[in-house]
Parts: sequence; C-alpha cells; structure tokens
Amino acid sequence: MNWRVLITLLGKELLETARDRRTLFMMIGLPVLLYPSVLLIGTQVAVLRQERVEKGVSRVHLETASLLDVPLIRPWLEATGKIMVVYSTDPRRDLREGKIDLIATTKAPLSESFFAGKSLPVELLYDVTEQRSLEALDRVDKLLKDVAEREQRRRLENRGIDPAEFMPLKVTRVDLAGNVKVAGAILGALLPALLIIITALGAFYPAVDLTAGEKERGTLETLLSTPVTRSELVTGKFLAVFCLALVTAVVNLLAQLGTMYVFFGQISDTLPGAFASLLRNPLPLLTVIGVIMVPMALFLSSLMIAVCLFARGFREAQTYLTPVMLLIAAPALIAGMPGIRLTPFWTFVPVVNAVLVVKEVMLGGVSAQALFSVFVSILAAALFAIACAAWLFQREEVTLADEPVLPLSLRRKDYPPRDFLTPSHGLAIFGVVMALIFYLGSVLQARWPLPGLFVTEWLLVLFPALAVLWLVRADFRAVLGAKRASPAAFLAGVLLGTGTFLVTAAFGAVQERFLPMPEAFREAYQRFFDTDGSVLSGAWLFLVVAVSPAVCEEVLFRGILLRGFTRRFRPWIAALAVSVLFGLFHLSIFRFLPTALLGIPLAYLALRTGSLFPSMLTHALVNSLALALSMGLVPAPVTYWLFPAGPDVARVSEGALFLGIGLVLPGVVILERRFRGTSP
Amino acid sequence: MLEAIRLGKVFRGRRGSPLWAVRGVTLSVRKGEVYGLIGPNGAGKTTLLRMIALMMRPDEGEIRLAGQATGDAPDALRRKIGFASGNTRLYGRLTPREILSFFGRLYGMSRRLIERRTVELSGIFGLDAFLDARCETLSTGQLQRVSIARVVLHDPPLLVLDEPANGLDVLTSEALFQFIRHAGERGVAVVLSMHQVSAIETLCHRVGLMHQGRLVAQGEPEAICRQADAPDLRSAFIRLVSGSVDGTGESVP
Repeated sequence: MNWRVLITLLGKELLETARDRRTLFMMIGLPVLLYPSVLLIGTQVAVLRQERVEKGVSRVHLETASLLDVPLIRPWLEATGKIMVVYSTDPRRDLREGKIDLIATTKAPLSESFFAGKSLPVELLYDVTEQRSLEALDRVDKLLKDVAEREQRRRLENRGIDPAEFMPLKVTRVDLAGNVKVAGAILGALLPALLIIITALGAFYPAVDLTAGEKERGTLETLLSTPVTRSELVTGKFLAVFCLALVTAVVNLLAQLGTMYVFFGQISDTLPGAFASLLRNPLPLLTVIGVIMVPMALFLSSLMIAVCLFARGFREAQTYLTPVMLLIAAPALIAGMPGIRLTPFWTFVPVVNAVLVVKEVMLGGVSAQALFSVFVSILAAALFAIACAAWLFQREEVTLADEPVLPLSLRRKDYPPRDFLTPSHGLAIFGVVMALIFYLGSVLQARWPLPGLFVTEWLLVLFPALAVLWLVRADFRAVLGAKRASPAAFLAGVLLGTGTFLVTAAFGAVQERFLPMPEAFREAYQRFFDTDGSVLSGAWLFLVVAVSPAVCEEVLFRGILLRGFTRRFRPWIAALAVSVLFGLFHLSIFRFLPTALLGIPLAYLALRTGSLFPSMLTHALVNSLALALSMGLVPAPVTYWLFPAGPDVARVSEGALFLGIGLVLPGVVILERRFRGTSP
Repeated sequence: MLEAIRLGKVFRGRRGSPLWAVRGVTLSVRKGEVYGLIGPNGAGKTTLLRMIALMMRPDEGEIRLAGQATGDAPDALRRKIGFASGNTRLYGRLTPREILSFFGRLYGMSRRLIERRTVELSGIFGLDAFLDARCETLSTGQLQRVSIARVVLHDPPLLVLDEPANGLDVLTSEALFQFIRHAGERGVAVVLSMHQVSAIETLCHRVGLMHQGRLVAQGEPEAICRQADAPDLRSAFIRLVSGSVDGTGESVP
C-alpha cells in the first residue's frame, strides 16, 4: 500500500465530490437547513400541546343519581379551579368527539350513601386516546380521593378511632428518573437514530458516485490501466466515502446541538432545568458519539461500497442501496424507542448497538466496558465489510463487466426461453408473494381462517410463482426440479421430516421460555383447528393445513428459490439462505426458528434427490404431525412419552429429541449413500 | 517489446458453461512496430487488449514485457504501458491540468516532471486554450486530445489502444493516426484495434485478424491479402471471416 498513491486518490475523490453540487447539498445543506427546522418545529408543537393540556381547564359532565346532589358535588370538583362542570345532552358522544373530557356518574343519592355513613359508587368515563381526557381523569381522581380521605378521617374520629390504625401502609410515590432521564429518554429515541441515518445518507451518494458512477462514466477503466493496485484503489475510494460520511455526521451533530441551544433559549422556563445541564456539559455525550461514529462511518461506507460494486450504473446502485438504507434505518429507529436497553446481545448487533450506547449516555451514563465492547464490535463489522469490498474489487467480472442487464418486461416474447432462474428472479417472486400475503392473505385469514389459508396458498403463493415462470418462459420441470424420484428418496424424506419435527418440537418448551407466545396468538392459531369433528371437516382441515402448504410452498422455496440460489452460491449456502426466507415467510417471530430449521432438511432432500416431490411429501407429513398433535389425535401415552414435561415446563424433552435424532440419521445415510453425486 | 504466448481467457457463459473469449493467441510486437487487430464484434479483441495491458489476468498462457514475465507483479509493470479505449474516459468535474497531474502522480512521477510534461504535451496536442476548463465543458475532439496526452504522459514504451478512433470526425482521426505513426517512429511499440480496416492497412506494420477468440491470420497486410487471395485487406477480412467459420461469435465481456 503506497501512501502517496492513497493520498492522491483520496484528494481526487474529495475534489471531485466538492465540485458536485448534489452530493454537497445532501452532505451539508440538508442537515444544516432542513433537519433542524423540522426538529425545532416538531418539538415546539409537541411542547405547546402538552402545555395547553396541563394549563387548560378540564370539562367534566356530571351525572348524579339525585338532582339535589349536583350543588353538593360540584364544589368538590371545582375546588382547584382546573375543572369546570359542564352540561351535555349527549355526554358519551361529546366525549368521543372531544367536546368534553370526562363523564363523572354517581350511582346512588348522597343522602342514602355518603351522608348515611355508607359508600358512594362513582364511575368515571374517559377516552384513553385523548391526552386532555387522561389529564381530566387524573385531576378528578385526585380530588375525589381527597374528599374520600377527609370523610374517612372524619368518620373514624367520630368513633374515637385513630385514623392511623386503619392505614397500616402509607405509600408515597417518588419518581427517581428525574428530569434529565425523562428528557434524555425523549431525545434518546431520536438523536442517535437520526445521527446514524444521516451518516448513512452522507455515505450514500459518494458511495454510488465513486463506484457505480465512475463505472457508468467510463473513468474506472482509465484508473484500472494505471499501476495502482486494486487494493489501493478500493482503499482510496473507501477513505473518501468514509471522510464524507464523517463530515456529514459532524455537520449534522453540530446542527442538532445548535438547534437545541436555540430551542432552549426560547422556552427554557417550561422545560426541566436539569435537562439543560446535559446540554451545558455535552462533553461526555460528544465523546461517546465520537468514539462510536468513527467505526460506524467506517462500517456504513464499506458496506455501501461493497453493495454498489455490484451495480453497473448510477441508477442501479441507487436501487441496490435503497433496501440497505431501510435495513439501517429500521433497526436504528426501533432501537431508539424507549424501553430497549443495551444488553450483551445487542452489543454485537451493528447499528442497534451504536444507537443504544448513545441512548445510554443520554439516560445517565454508560460503562467504559460497554462502550469498548460496542466499539470493538462495530469495528469488527466494519473490517469485515471492508474485506468484502476489497475482495469484490479484485474480481474482474465486478470491475470490468459490461454485460447488459436483462430488461424487465411484461411481454412474454421479450424473454428468451430458459431452463434456470437466477437468485434475483427468485427473490423478486418471493417479494411479490410476501406483499400479497401481507396485504391480502393476512386479512383473508383473519376473517375466514381455513378458507383464507387455502386461498393464500393456492392463489397468493402458487399462482403468482407459476405465472412468473410462464411469463419468463422458464422450463417448469428444470426450474422446479419436477422429476420422478425413487421410493428410497421418499423414505429418506419421511425419516428426515419426522425426525426434524421431533427435534424442533423437543426444543419448543425452551423457546417458549425465552420467547413466550402471547395468548392472543395462541388462540388465533388454535382457531384453525376448530372443527365439528366430522370426517368431511377433518379432510378439509387436512387439505388446507397439510397438503396445500406442502405443494405451494415447496414450489416456491425448494423449487424456484433453492434452484435459483444454487446457480450462484454453494449448495449449503443456498440451503441456509432459502431456509431463512422460509422462516421469514411465516410472518411470525414465534414460528421463525422452527420453520427455518425445518427448511434445512427439506432443502437438503431436494438438492440430494434432485426432485421436488420427496420434499413435498415430507412437508405434508410434518404438517400432518403438527395437526394431529394440536387436535389431540395422538394417543395421550405417546404424547406424554414424547413430551413428558408438558408444554409449560422449560426443558428439552429427551424422548422426542432422541427419537428424532434416531430418525434423522438413517435418513441422512440413505441420502448420502444412494444419492450422493446425482444432485445437479 | 511485447510477447504474448498462447493467451486464453475464459468467462462463465449464460448457462454456466465455460465460454472462451480468447484462446491460444500468440503474438509479439517489436519496438517501433505498430500492430493492428481487426475482427468482427465479439471476436475477443477487447479482452485480448485488456490482457496485454495487464488489466485482466489470462487464464492460460503468459505475457512478457521487455523480456520480463508479468505473472507475479502486473500492477507495477502497468507503468510501462499507456492504455486507452472507448471506455477510458476522463473526469468531467476535473480540468485537463488536474487530470494530468492526478495520473502523473499515480504513475509515480515527480511534481516537477509532471509540470514539464504538461507544458510539453499542451504544446504538442494544443491543450493550452482549455487546460483549466472542466472536462465536462470540452468537445469530443478536445477530450480525445486530452486523453492521448494522458496516455503518453509517463512516456510508456508500449501503447495499447482499443478502438481509439471511435466517435472521432475525419480530421481528429487523421491527427490521431499521425500521432500513432510518430510514436512508432520514436521507437514505441503500439498495439491497436480498429474497425476502419483501410486505416489499419496504411498505419500498421503487421496485422492480426481475430475471429471467435482465435487469431485466424497474422502478418504484414500484403501477406494476409495474398493468403486470402484478395485485392485489399478489407476483402481479405471478409473472405477469411465468412469463409473460415460461420456467423459471428457470441458477444463476450
């Protein structure tokens, strides 16, 4: 690595970028102008709203059991002057429409309850979605409690009893979070996430411009003809993108801090004074941000360069980077939400860890150890991404490719006949299917569980997949692996499928402990199995839950996706990737692991036998087993022997585990002995 | 100066099967010699020239530069080569002076040397008028002159030019041919590919005819004409290509 060359490359990239108005604006103009004004206006509006609620008078409609009670109860409510009793002809509607804030109803006349030494039931009706209604509830509740406490004391004293005897516990709440923590929580949700997103945006345009842009303008080949090594070239580019991302981050951070100073000058009296101290001494915050943002900018720039290298032009690179931006922004924003804290696990997840560590500082501090761990983990991720980018740059098909891309067309004759699909074709089909399921299938299934699932599988999964295959004139048999398989293949499938099902089920209780399935989910899941017990409805259930997924999902996953992926990747990587997609397909965090695990033997089976049919049979078998267990069709002693602990005890069921392994092994042996080398 | 021995380059075809873009090509170019490559589109000329310019590693065979094997250290040896093609464009947001200075430093030239060469080349190629204007504002002809100045900036003993006359008008092309002739006279070895067969005939000492990745004929233009029993190189080209093998090859990167 020649330093003189690196500095020359870096200097040229920076000079070129500095002369590009678009990139310059995205880097400096956007954060300086747009972002602070949005923050300023947004926060001001929020504060003003809160203030109006707190200073405003709550409008309460009073309904009493006896009309005579109104003049007696009204003074209770209006004691502090923050509540006004109003009259409404239709109080419930007015409450819903926000014309009043609360309805207070007494259920008995005062003379028969409160004044007769008994208890007066009071009902408070409010609207939880309205800040003003909640504030009114709080006020009325407090006032009524004061009245009740005074009356209680009076009654006890009348009987000559010390009130303290009747209050063995006196609970007082003190909020220790303090103002710094509250303000920190609010800002903590926003600032770190925005910082990362803006840094990523700062890397976005330079990354596209310096790689795909250079390729498109035809200047990359000029560079490749010089004695500069590929490593020097990619390092120079990477350094440039890194510098630009860092400049963007710094400009943005300064803009944010500046905005807040201005903001505090304006309404300092309405905000917690202690919060200002965080800004008066922002050094710890800035230090942590500095320590974290440098490797973060390294990571983001190398990641983006690596992705952009696949693109042949500017537009293509932007298309590739858009999902990457989403992958960065979504976890950043989610990690910013209150309640998520820096645990050892999150320490090792890039982006999330950076957001969380900055948030921890704003919430009051972070240990040097935690900061160090996050730093090292981001740095490791950055180095990995740099290595990937450097490796890609060594490849001639990446740097010198000028093969045209296949056009996207809806006319069948635009496509030459083909006997394979690429991973990107498969992923495109997967994306379409997922969108259909998400927007249409989930709605159908919520309304009509079984028919909905049936329609989802055949019309939203199988049909679009086959339609695309027809459109691009793919050879169905070759693309799907739809060819005959020997009985041995099916036998291996039965062994593998049953075994894997038992093994994953054996760990079900353990997952339940770490990731308990909410009751609502369980009920919705169970609803699928509600039948009237007749043979016909049993057959319908079998068709929908066992057969349909086996046919439709196997075509998509072990057919189109798996065969597409094996064209570009090694078989085991393809099998793993498709299994992860298969897990994601089920759209449930609780079912992700079991289904993804099941995907692996199915993919293995399809690859070894070269046919889709054994994995279809196996899939149907596994679903039938799950169905039989859920419906209690398996004899109780067998169920008990397999899962002796019952579903509530968090331990691995040895019976199921050992039987499962005992079935998987012969399945693997059959596949390895009979089918090794026959796979495509 | 340049020896290429049984060069081969294989790409992955559309269906995953290997596709030889160049195979078994052996050629040598002496100092001061201008060697021209002709052949239909997709014959493998660009791939061959990229390998000769040490930008692509051959999958078969070897390249020797001034008697030196290039296998291990192709990066440093690119210093001896000036390469230009239709794809070696210039940075639009930089000026010719900045571009020459940038590439000069990449070739390891000292600041003083770069300045001297810039003055020299500005004189030869008439760059003075636009030396400090951004390249995005220059005309095609002006850009071509800057491009050539960039190629010869470090005074390389071997020039590799892939379709250098593409998109040039008659006058600019003529200036380019003039320059190539001069380079040859100064002892620089030149390998170039061009679709203008008549220009190749007058410009080059020797010619290689490529078809479907192979060198189907090689020698002095007159020798090739004799071999194909044709009156001129153009007819010889057509006869050799359409006669020897059917159709045109599949286009390869």
